[in-house]
Amino acid sequence: MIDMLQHGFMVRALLVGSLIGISAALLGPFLVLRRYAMIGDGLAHVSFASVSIALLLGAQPLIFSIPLVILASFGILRLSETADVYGDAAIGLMSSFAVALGVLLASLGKGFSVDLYSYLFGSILVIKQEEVWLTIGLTLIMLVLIAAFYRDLFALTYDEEYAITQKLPTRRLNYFISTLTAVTIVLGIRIVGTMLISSMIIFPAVTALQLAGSFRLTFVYSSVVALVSVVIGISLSYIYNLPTGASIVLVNAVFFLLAFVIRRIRA
Amino acid sequence: MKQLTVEELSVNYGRYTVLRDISFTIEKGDFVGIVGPNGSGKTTLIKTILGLHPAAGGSITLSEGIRLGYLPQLNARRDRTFPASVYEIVALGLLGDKKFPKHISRKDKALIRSTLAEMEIENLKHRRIGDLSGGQQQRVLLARSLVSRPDILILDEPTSALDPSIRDSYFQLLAELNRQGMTILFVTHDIASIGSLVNKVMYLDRELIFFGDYEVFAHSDKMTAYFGHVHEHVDCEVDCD
Repeated sequence: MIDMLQHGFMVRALLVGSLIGISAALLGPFLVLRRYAMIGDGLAHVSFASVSIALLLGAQPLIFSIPLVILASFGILRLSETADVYGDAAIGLMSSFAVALGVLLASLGKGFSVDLYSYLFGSILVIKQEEVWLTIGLTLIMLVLIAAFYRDLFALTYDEEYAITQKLPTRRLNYFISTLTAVTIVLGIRIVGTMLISSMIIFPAVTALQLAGSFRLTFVYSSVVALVSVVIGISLSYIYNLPTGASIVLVNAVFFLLAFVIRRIRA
Repeated sequence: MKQLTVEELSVNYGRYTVLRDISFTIEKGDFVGIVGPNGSGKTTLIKTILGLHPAAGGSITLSEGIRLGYLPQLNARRDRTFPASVYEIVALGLLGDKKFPKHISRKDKALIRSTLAEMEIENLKHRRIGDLSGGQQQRVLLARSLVSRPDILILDEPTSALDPSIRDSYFQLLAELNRQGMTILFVTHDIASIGSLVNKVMYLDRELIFFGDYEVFAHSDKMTAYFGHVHEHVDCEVDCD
């Protein structure tokens, strides 16, 4: 473990991974409980397309992708609000369109397929110092925002209709959650890749839901599960030379199974 | 004292008119049973009053300082699985009065505790809502509606999923709130079960068929005219052979 920390890229991976893990874990319960869990998956596919465009244009992929994925998340919301398209269908539409676009661009720009591969499955070796600072800055802002609007987001998640009667700005809150999710997804693809980033939103939240007796505890459990999964996953990937993203997700899966069994025993 | 005035209210769903030309006034201390057949617009009316649905025409006026409380229908699926404690849910009822960053003060905590005590659910405050019975869950949601001390409490078929014995104790609770001066609008499909509680009845069938005293309701010419064909139908079924 100490040996691992002597490498700069591992310290960067642990720092970025932990921050992304906690951000995703805090957004997870809001999305999972509102049956919007798959928005992470859809936006991850959009980020695949936006990374393809950025690589084709020679732009910085993360900075280029953040506004584009935020716009896509708004598009999904608008589709389900105004076009009478169910939320999961809206995500499916956006997702498949983005993957098709990404694949098309990847085939056009033959020279960047190696770079694109690192965004598909994540690669801790290629995290740059500027990306570390961007991640630290944005995740800290997100953590403060989630804490500041925690009660409003709780009300929205539990009962949106009641939240409207309480004069809460529910529409703006929906866009707020979408924005935070989009930013988390884009920042997270460096660690676990576009294929697996949505699992960082879903797994810790669903694990926490097996055991938590209150909304507040759901966030505590979700964050702890995410943090421990990231640290164990990255360590395992270093020690046994395994893919980082897949290691983190599999550790998450073990925690979920444990929580599921504990819940069954308690019941 | 007038608390709520509705004038010539119309509500549409797309091109379909759900409510047409509804006018009535609610006075302080009224206990109004809102009844009507399925699809008559009962829930639409209260949702429009609460601002959940836009009005196509007419007006809804709350007298100055009047605050609304709302108890929706029980969402059994959500409440069975949602990871929230009783205390957390009741605290949600205070959000509407708060400004950013919506801190729960010591005064708020005292208010929540006293509301839990009034609803006789103080011992459940740390329990997950999904672990409670339907009757207990409904008391939790009532506590959420009451914690902000509203002047008018609007309930949408709150007892439809409850056992008769639990329902009776729930009705007693509402009667006590009404005795203390709270105005209550109660949507139900079963006026007989709350006949002893209400002082007024509103009968809707996409328009206002009757609004007035409960004693007058059963014998009113309007209702006799409205139900006439039903009586004939029932008489025929019994006597035609």
